Amino acid sequence: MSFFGAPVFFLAAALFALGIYGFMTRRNLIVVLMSIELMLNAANLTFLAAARGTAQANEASSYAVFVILVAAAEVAVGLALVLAVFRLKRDSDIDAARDLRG
Amino acid sequence: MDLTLPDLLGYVLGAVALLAGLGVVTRRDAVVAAMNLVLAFFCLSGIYLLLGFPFLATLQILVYAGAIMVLFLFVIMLLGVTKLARTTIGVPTGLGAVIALAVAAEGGVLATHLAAKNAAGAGSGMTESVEGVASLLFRDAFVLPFEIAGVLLLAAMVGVVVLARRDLTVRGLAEFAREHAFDPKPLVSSRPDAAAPDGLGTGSLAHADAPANGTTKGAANESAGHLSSSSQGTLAATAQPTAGVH
Repeated sequence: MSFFGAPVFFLAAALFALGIYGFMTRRNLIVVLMSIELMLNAANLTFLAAARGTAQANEASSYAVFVILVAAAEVAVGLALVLAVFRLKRDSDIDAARDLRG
Repeated sequence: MDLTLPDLLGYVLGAVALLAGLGVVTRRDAVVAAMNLVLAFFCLSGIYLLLGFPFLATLQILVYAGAIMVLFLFVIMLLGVTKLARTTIGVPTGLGAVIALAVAAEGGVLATHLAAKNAAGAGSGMTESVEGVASLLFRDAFVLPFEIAGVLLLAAMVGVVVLARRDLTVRGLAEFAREHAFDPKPLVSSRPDAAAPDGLGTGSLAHADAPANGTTKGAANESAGHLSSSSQGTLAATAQPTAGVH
């Protein structure tokens, strides 16, 4: 069967699931950010695969551009936060930032 | 069931992307995880190309595999946290696996639905054109979102500059605010005015209200581009050993 039918959507779903798994189980803040990147890429893949060959191909591209843009901003802010946490706690483990715990 | 070359390439790239994604979430070395993520990005870019989105494929390489991953690797190297602690096997891991499997199942259901819909609506044969995307972003439908995205990037940039400062403590932020309140002194006194007699010409306006700056006056006419933005006279004194007036 053609890859561009159901299999490409299954691939996107699997990549998204991998991202969720990494987001929930990894303890290092940098790897958590990488998992978020994986999820955003899976969303992009779904956008583009769903618009393939339809009249909305350009719209899908624009949405994907916005997703990439938001991902870039998110990574920059997230890594700056990781740097700040590391500077205060000497640790990039996600449990280092638990000062707001009630 | 006949596999054309794009289909075959798509399956290969998809399999590699899945393996690389698995590597991202399972490898313990952060650098290896980042490299796996780069591989996944490249495979996804190839899939975009096969889907008929060459502009997005280029953007994926440039922004994701280029800029974002350089940022990741830079921070990993900066922090020196390449060896990570073993993931705790317990409730979070099991919960994560269960939720991920649930999402994957739902994605599968959605996938079959989308694939059927896609097969029905794919008759027009339109493909992405850079002209079309540019016209949407800069002229037609997405002009306002695009401008808002620019503001978002600016806000993110300012936030990153503030967050990444060395003195990110409450006291450090207060000092940052005090230092960077508008102050005409650096603008006036940093003018290269070497012909000033005994420091009066070089920003007499700037030095008028700060008594600590009296020590910098002698050094001011010695070198033209001295650091007069430092209001502490000690810094200026140590920066100019040739002055020798202290």
